[in-house]
Amino acid sequence: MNSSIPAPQSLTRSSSSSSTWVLSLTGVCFVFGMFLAMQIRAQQKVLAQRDSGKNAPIIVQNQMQNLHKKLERETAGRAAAQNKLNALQKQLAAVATGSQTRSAALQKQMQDLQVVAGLTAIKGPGVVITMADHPKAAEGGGTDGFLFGIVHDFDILQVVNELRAAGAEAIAVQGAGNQPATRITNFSAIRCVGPTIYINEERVAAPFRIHAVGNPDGLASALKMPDGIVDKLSRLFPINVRESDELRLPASENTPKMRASKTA
Amino acid sequence: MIFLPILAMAGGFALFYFTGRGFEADEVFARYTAIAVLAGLDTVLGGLRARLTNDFDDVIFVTGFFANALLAGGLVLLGEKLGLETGFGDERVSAMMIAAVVVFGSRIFNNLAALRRLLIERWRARRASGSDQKSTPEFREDLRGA
Repeated sequence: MNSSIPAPQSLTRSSSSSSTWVLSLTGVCFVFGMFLAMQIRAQQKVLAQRDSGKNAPIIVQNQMQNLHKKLERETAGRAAAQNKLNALQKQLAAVATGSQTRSAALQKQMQDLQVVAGLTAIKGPGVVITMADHPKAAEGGGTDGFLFGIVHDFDILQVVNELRAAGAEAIAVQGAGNQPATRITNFSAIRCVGPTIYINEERVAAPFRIHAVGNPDGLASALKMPDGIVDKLSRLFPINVRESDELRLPASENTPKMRASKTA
Repeated sequence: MIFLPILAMAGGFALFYFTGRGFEADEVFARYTAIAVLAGLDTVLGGLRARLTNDFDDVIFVTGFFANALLAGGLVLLGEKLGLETGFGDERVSAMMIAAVVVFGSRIFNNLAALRRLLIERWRARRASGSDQKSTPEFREDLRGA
C-alpha cells in the first residue's frame, strides 16, 4: 500500500487489512443483511399480529359503534315511516268519513227526492176527505148522460187541486171498500172513462176517500172555507173532511219511463 | 472489491427475506433486535469508512459489529428494566430506546457524510493522478470514527 506511512503499527494494520478486509467486511455485511431481513420479517409479523390481536377490541368497538349508528338511523327511519303511516291512516279515515258523510248526504237527498216524488210509502198527520154519491142521484136523471149527485172525475181533480194549493205533501185516493189507495203524483191522471173513474189507469168507484198528508188544520180550513170546494160540492153529494193524526200512504206504482226527456 | 460486501449484504437479505425465515414475531423482542440492527448498520458504515481512511482492523470491526449490536439491544433492555420510560400504560415509550436511536442515528449520518466526502476526494485524487488507483486522501482527524 502506501509506503509513505512510516508508523509500524499503521503498516501492520494496513498489511493485515490488505488481504482480509474484504472477507471480514463481506461476512459482516452478509450477517447484517440477514439480521435486517429477519428484523423486517419479524416487524411485519408483529404488525399483522397487532392488527389482528391487539386492535381486535378496537375493531369490535368500531363495529359496535357503526352498528349503533346504523341502529339509530334505522330507528329514526322507522319512526319517520310510522309517522307517515299514521298520517296516511288519518287521511284515509278522513277520506272515509268524508265519503261516508257524502254518501249519507246522497242517501238522504235520494230519500227526500223519493219522498217528494211519491216513490216511498209515507205516514204523517193529515186529512181524509170522503166523497160518496148522493143516495138519490140515480133518481134525479140528467141530460146527455150527465148525472148530478154523483162524484165525477173533475170533482176529485178539484179537491186534489185544492189540497195541493193548501200545501198537502202527499195525496192518495182510495176507492170503494178495501181497494188499495193510489198515490197522486206528478204523472197521475184522473179521468172519466164511461161510467167509472180511472186514476193512474186504475178503476176506482165511489165512495172515494182522498188521503192528504200535511198540516191537518191548514188543509181542513182551506177546504172548508166559505164558498170553498167543500161548500160547493156538499150541495151535490155528501162530502166529509176528517182530520187524522196518522195517515199511511202507499208508494206510487206508476213511474213513467223517461224516453223523450234528457237532463238539461 | 467494494462491491463484494454490498453483494453479500443483498444476498443475505434476500436469502432470509424471501425464504420467509425470521425471528419469532414477538413484539417485545423485536424492539431490541431493531436497535441491534441499527447498531449493525452503524458498524458496517464505520467499517467502510475506516477502510477508506486506511484505518481498518478486522478484529475490531467484527467484534465491534456483534458487540455494538448486543450492547445496543442490551442497554435498551436494561433501560426498560430500570423503568426509564415516559408516558403511561400502552402509550409509554422507552427512554433508552430513544437514546439509542438518537445516538446511532447521528453516528450513521456522520458515517454517511464522511463516506461521501472520502469517496469524492478519492475519486478526484484518482482522476488527478491518472492510473494511480491506490492513492488515498489524507487522514482527517475530525471525521475519524470510533
